[in-house]
Amino acid sequence: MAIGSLSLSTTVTTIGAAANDLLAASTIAPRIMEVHVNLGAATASTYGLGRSGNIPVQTAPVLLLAENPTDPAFKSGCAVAWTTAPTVPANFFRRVTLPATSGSGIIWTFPRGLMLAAGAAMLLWNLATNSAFTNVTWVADE
Amino acid sequence: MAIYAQAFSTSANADLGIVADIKSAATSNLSVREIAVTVNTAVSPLLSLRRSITEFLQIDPRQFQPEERGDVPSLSTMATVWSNSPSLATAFLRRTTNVLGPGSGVIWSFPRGLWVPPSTSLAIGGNSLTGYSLSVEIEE
Repeated sequence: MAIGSLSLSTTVTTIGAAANDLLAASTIAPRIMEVHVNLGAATASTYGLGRSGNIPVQTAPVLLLAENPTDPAFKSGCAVAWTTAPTVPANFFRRVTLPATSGSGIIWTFPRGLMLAAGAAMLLWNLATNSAFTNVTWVADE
Repeated sequence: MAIYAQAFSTSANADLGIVADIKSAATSNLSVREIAVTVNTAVSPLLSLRRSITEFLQIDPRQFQPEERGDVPSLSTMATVWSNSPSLATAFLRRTTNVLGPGSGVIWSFPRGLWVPPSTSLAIGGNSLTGYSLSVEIEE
């Protein structure tokens, strides 16, 4: 098991749509250790963290970066756009409303890891019309 | 392995938007445990953390200080000025937009260590030309 992380900025503002996802490869089940959400625009925003209702198809995914470069390359990847869009989680593990202040944010931690099944996706879901620029960081053990 | 720290204030480099780099020696790895960054004036920079692609040639490097007396001197260094313009990875390990206000900032922690191979750097980015206060703790 190895720790990897990646930070992307999201641009999807639409309510009832994914802003960002972490998609596990079909052969491995990572554990999510941390999720950081940080507004880069002064828009009050509400997000939820939950498992995707489907298996999305990512556009231009970026793989997690190994925090120890001698570890094997990571297979889980993040995206902010999709050719098959994620569908709404049945339930959310975390929800947060952030004030209309650029720089506000939250860090969710999972000391024992939030398990993601092989081939499945975890979503940061827009529960409102959200910020057009949000920094999202995923940290996972894979 | 021993724990070392270094803390100081600096300004962002105008050309690179880099506040400082954390560099390992040619003969050893380092493992970052924690990075704390705050701004000294009312600005709202995008703070970031990326790996170097080419080597930072540091000018006037600052050596990390052992937290426990008796540990050997650190070989790892930080700098805010360089004699070259090193290139950085396109993907970010961390990104955070700061709240507008002096004293705002972030603490990034790495409980299992963020490894830096020999002669490479982690670059702390900040795209506002202001004073930054940095506190970095490593294991080496």
